[in-house]
Amino acid sequence: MLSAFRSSALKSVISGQGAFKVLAVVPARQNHHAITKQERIETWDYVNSVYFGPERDMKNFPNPTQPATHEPVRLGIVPQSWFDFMYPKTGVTGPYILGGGLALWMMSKEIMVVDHYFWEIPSFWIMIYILCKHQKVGPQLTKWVAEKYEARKHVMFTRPINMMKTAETSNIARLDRLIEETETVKHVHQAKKEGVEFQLEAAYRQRLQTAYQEVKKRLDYEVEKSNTKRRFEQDHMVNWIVSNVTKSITPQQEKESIQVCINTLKNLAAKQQAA
Amino acid sequence: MASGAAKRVSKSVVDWTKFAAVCPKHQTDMLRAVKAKHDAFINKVYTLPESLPKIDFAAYKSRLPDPAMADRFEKAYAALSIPYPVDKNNMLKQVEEEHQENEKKVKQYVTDIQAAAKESKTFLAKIESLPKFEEMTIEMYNYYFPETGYNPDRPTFWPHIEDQQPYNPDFKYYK
Repeated sequence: MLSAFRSSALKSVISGQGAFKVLAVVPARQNHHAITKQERIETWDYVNSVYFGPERDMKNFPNPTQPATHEPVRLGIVPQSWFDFMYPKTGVTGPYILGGGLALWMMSKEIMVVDHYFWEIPSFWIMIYILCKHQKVGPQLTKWVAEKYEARKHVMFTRPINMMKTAETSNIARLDRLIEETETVKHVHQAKKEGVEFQLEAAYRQRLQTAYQEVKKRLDYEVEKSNTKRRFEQDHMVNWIVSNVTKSITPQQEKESIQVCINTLKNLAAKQQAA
Repeated sequence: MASGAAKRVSKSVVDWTKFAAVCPKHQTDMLRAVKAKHDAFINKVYTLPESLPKIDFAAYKSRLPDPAMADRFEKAYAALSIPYPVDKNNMLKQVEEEHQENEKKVKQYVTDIQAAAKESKTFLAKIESLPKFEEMTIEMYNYYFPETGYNPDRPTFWPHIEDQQPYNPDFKYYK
């Protein structure tokens, strides 16, 4: 397709001729806009009202429908209903007799003339019959036509309609999710409120902790103070007594006491040897 | 102790599982940051004592040189009233106002979305109202889908594809 436009013949038309360009810049044709949902709905409502509106007499003039397959036939082409119509009156062979008899009567009255062209009619229908009944032609032909029809239906109707449906379904799901997501606001509010409250609570508990610690510190200080005082007094008393005692010992007393000690040791040694 | 008016909080009521479920995908990082911060606040509260801790004054009484002092301390400690901190910048009110505003916005947003969803649902119903393809003639089909029919106000050139029409600005060979 594009190659056609690339070819020099068309190029000359595009670049050379003014008429083509004038056609091309008519504003109404500049853009094909996408048809919106609203426009589609309006169009369909209008067309529905035209085809199936209140003025339409659906009872007496129903919408013509195209059956997918033909009605049952005999002899390949003759409707079964004709045979069924005659069956109560004439039995099974009646319609055949009628057909053959009618042909004979028309021939005898020269309504149906057997001339050179006569055999074209039966031979044409015989050929049609053979083609329809032939295993390689008839069913293949039916299949081919059905395939063509299905492809056409798919491109023209099924696919675009399904695309629209899928798009709308997913759109609805997306919108539902969006509505669900708006709940986030509630949770965010709760979290924010709790954040403030918890910070206040933390500050309050910090105050409690500080008060407790301060009171305890003071009590501990008092206890420690009295302990230290007592310890210091004790130490001082001990030192004082010891130093006074040491001071009161004279050299004479010291010598005597050492002599007593030596004597005691000697006595001990003597006792040890004797033993 | 605590002033009666102030509301004490000790337990979080934020349902984080639900929060995460409704959180938009692209805001997961934000959610994680908020949760981390919130958890930090809660953890700080839990590391501190809930009420004024007890002091064993009896033990102190025996250890202090002046037992009357312990009694005085005990009395003062029992009478200690610690005020609950005041929300100085009125943060709670700000949060509440913000929430009110957000609620309004959300309401509008939800209304818009519901309108769009309703249009989609109407459209789906309208698709069902179309006659079967088998029962449509070409004429009907062109009426139902105007873009498929031949439009005399809008003649096209072969190959009759929109993208390859001279009036299409994107058409390469037009320029």
